[in-house]
Amino acid sequence: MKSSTMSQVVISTSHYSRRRFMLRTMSLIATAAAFTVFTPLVAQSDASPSAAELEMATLGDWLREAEPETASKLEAEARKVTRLTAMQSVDWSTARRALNQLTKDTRVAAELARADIVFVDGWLLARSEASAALLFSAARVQSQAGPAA
Amino acid sequence: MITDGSTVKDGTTFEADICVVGAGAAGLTLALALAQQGVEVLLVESGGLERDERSHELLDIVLSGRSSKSLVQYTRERFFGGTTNHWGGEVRTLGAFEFEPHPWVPNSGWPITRSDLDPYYVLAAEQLGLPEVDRPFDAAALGFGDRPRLVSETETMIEAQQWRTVSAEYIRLGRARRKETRESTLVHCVLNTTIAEIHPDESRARIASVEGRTFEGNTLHFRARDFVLCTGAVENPRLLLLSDTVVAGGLGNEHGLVGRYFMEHGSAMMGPLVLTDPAAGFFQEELLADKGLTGWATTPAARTEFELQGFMAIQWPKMGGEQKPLTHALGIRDLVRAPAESTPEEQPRYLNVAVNWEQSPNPLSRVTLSKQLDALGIRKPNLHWDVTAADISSAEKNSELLCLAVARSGHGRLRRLEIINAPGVPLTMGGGHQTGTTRMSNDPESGVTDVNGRVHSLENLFIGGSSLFPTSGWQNPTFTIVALALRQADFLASRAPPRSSTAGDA
Repeated sequence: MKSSTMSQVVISTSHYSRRRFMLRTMSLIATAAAFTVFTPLVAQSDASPSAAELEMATLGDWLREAEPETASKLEAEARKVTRLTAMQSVDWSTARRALNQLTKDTRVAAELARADIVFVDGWLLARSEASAALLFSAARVQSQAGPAA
Repeated sequence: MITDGSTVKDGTTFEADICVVGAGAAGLTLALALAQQGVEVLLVESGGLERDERSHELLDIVLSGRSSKSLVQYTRERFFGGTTNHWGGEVRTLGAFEFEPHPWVPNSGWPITRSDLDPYYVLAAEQLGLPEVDRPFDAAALGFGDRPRLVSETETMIEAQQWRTVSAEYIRLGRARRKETRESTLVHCVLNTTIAEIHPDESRARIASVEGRTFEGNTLHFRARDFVLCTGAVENPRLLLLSDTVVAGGLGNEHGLVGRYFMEHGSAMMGPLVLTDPAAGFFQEELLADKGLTGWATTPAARTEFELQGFMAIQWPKMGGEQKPLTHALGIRDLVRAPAESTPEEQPRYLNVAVNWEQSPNPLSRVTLSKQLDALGIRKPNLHWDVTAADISSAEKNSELLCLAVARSGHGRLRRLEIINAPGVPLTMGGGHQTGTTRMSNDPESGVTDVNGRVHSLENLFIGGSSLFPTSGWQNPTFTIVALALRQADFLASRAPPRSSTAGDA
């Protein structure tokens, strides 16, 4: 695998292999689904998150633990995209209102919303890709940091 | 005939049917087209036959707002042939959509339609040695039809564009048409003479003469039945405003519109466009780029749906290894591919993308007069270039549509345009496409000239060139400047009875 380009963050916690990472992630997703233990992003919600949202939220939990710096950057980007300030509590109903506001304010955003698109640091990603991006980014760092399984 | 004004005796008066000021794309085209119709023309040019630093410094301009030297100072030339002396030669017509008023863009729309210019685009193509008016994006015609496209032809929001480039034989109008000018019996070109003021007659409804100055300190006079200013979007309003001895506030400025609605194409680098699969081979857009610029523009349908101004993106040539993709940018390719597809041997492949975005016509963006004087004692122009938040928002939204179209193709990802809108931060690399400032309109309260370029309040003073544009569109303007000049030549020739002898000018 080529050298890391997305993230220069070195994980300060224990060394995971990619396999262990994937298992850990799947476990977290399963846990989240079973016990509805979501990140703050969904914890205050009275709406039912989709599977993709659930997956992202779970990955967010993991990322905060494993890569706090990367997680912080991504959260800042997410707040920027949804126009939420650092003082605003993030929950699903707020996020949905922000998305609605975004859609109302910018008609292009409406087109992008129809395509289920987000911009992360200027790069266009489908929401599912954003989730995959988190997964892959973290997995790559893991594989470089730790021994192969 | 060509005369060096610096050798002419002080106080000399020249006379002809029509006096054209400025020998650039508009003025030179107009003068020679008039001569071909038997009209005697004086063509007055501030510079000489070649670039001269002293003449060039007369372009100096006082800047405010978002203006920068790169925007106006280095994008114009002041000698025979005008700015075509460094023109890139990229040719596009304004589409019919660009002539229409758009409810979401205040003050937009032309008082003429595309069909009014159609025959003159054909003539302009002939004059510039082009085999056709607009080159279609047609990869199949060049044998590349089986290659994939970076933006699918089924996209409805973004469409591929192909430019044609004027060949070396025609691109420098000052060289291409010098012999014709020199040998013409009906065109008398006077060089090294800068027009300082336009003098109305006692009625104030007609122009009697224009006054020129030379670096030798001489004053020359030019008399004609009709006068046409073809000195560009900064100098045309400057000349009208300078002519305030008889009419306070300058000529044609009864409604305070002279100099307003200055527009430029905001120009910036976008991207890079990172190709998802470096081994996929070349795309149609790349292969056609060998035959002229290729790129993309937002379609009229998308601009209507999302209420956007014009936007074009082109592939920007790589500069010999100087431009490298951001490390950060390369990561995106990996992000949108499955990890298993990445191999360390793969070299990343990317394209640089540059954009031009259209401004809305804005009365606060304007040319006025400075108190500073140039080397000839003439007040310098002051350009206040104003860019609105709506301009920037439109450009960024357009870029998002392009990002979406590229992503939909599955062949790559393009980073969207981000414009830092803060004082002191340059907004543009300098599109070199200055327009507006003496816009044409049917109503004197909304424009300086009528549909033929005649200043509303004057019977015989006309404007030619890019300052007539009420709306700029996203296209390169020079081809339209030439077409407008040819149209104006037909109109002016119809006002001036032809001379009996047209030998050497047919």
